[in-house]
Amino acid sequence: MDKQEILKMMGNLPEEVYDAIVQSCYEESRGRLKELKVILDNRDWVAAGRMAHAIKGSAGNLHLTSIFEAAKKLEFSAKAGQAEEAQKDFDALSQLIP
Amino acid sequence: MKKKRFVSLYFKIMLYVLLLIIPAQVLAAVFYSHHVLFTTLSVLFFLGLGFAGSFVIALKIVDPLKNLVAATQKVSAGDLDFKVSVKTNDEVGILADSFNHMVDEMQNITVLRDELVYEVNERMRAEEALQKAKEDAETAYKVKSEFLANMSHEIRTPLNAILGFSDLLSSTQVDDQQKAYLNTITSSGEILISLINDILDYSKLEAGKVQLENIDFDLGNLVNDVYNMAKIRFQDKPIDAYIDWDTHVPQWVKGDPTRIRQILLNFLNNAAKFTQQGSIGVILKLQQENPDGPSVQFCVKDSGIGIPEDKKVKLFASFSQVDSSTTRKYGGTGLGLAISKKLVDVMGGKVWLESQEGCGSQFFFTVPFKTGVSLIRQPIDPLSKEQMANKLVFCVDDHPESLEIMSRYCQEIGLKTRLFNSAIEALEDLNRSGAQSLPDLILSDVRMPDMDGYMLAEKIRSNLKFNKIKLVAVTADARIGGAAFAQEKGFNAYLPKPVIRNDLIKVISAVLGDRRAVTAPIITRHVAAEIGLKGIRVLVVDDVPSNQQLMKAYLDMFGCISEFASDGQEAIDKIKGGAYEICLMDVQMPVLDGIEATKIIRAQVSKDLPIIALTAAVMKEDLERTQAAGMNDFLTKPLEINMLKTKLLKFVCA
Repeated sequence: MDKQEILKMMGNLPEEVYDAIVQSCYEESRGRLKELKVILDNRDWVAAGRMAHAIKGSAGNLHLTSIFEAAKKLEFSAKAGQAEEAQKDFDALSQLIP
Repeated sequence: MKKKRFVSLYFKIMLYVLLLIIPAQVLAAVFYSHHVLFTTLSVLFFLGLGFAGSFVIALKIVDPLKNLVAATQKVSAGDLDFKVSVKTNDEVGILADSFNHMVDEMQNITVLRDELVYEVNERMRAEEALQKAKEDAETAYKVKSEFLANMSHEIRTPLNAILGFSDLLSSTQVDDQQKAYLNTITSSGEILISLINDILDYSKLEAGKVQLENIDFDLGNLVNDVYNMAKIRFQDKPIDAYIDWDTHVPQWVKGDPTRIRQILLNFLNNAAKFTQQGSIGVILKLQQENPDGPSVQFCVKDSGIGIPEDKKVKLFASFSQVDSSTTRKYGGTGLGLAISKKLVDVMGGKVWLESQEGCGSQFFFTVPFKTGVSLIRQPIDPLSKEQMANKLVFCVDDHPESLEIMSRYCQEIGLKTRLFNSAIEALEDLNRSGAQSLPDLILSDVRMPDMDGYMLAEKIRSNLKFNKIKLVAVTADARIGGAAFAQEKGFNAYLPKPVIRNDLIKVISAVLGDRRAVTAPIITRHVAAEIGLKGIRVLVVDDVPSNQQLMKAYLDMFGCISEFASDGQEAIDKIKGGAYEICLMDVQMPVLDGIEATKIIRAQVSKDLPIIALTAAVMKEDLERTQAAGMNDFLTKPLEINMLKTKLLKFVCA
């Protein structure tokens, strides 16, 4: 979906407002990814799942589909305690956030 | 031919003469010299012979001719039974035969002519009868329309009282069973109203007397709202519900929202009726972009029983369902589709359907809209309850029950009221009043004896002294075209009876906060609901800043005032300190999550504040958890703007 379509879907949200919110979302997600790295190393699966869930939530609201999907994968693998899978998903998600 | 016959007749006469004269002269020459007597005798003989010849001629020619002349005179005098009796084989005989034949022909022609004259007369008589029948039908039609309008008014007025007093009764001390009974009275009354509406709408559309509203409205919200109304009808069946909104369709358009609602609800209700499982969806597409606005294509798609090929054409005809057993099984007037089709026609759009028996149906309709402007950006700022307190409202209605319901609703929110049984009384009071004691608003019935509501509005609008007074038409005749007409007469807002408490309050609050010109488009209950979100205070509880930002952007678009808390504890503190009309609460939060926070709020702070859960979880157990904690409803993430608006509208009242 292109940006104009997303804006329409969001009730004609002004583009600059959308851009600003997307920037905050990236910023938050970068902070979360840093924390996530530590949490994953500690194998705290519950906290990791929650963190991924939060990233998924903000990305979903903004229709950032690829981040949403990657965060969703990470949420599941973390909640299931699949260390290797979670690490792979974490890397994939990190790639998507500038 | 005639000439030839005439010539031969001439030669025959000549032959007779020669036969008489030549032998006479020959005989004369022979006998001349012998005897004078003989001469004399022969002269006499030949004279006699001549006479005899003339006699023969007269007998053979002249008499029949006379006969013919007499016959001609008789025939021309009109006696067609008269026949010439000439039975000779010569030309005269032929002439007589021809004459008789001609008379026979004339007799035939006369019969034909008489038949023709008879037919012409008959036709003229039939035409006269037809003209009379047409006039009779027109009169009957007018009488019928008036009768329908009168009856619907007469039925609506007591229904208004039944529904109004049921509502008032349910807000007194009643137990659960009594409340259930009251709900049944209300819902039955509403069904009755919708049937009456169908009949009246149909008769108005048939008469071609339809004026459309032309107001800005939020199409997205309308579709959502209608969808939620229809969903109640199939929520117990295993049916997936969806709205597929093409992003090219603009959110705000200008047109007749009431009619769009009516059509969409009709198609959706049909879908709900005829679908037992599968899915029911609304699909919106931008059909084309016209210079003055977008043409939108609506489609209501279901996986129901479908429609057989041979019944498709009939379906949009009046009083028609697929067959009469359908009426028995599924109910309804059979007018819904006919009304919808006529409405779409009037709006300049098209209706069609695609369906296969057993494979579901798709009902399409298109509507050319004008470009719309968000109502939120217009200078209407609905008044809060505090701002409305002590405003003076005149209620005008000739039915004491209606007056009582209106005034009760007004008094409940702190408005001061004065009641009038007639428009004349109200007008006299206005004329006597000084500027200080004029009302801020007049709620007026439309149909009243002596002076009706329209007349009252015109009188008020023609006097500058009254130009600050807001006028609200409250009418039991509220059907197609009513709002546009009321606007013409000078009303600022328009409300149908039976009056719904929240509608009335929203309309009053919107009208009192309307700073637009008198000629601005009229406020209906739907417009009032749209802008009902303007100025309301919303507390958003979410720990993620970007989510807060997004929520703020959305709420700004609705005109809401938003405040934020980042966890449950902060939310509790804020609710203790501030007056919010609604709270949107994330479920998963640090420190104190939404569930726990709500439990504390319900136990310690507020039992009534509507709290809506924001949750990514759509599992039944999760939703039950939010309900058990005391949350009123939920919104699923990712957040969807139309859904957000619908939920806010559902809980926010003036």
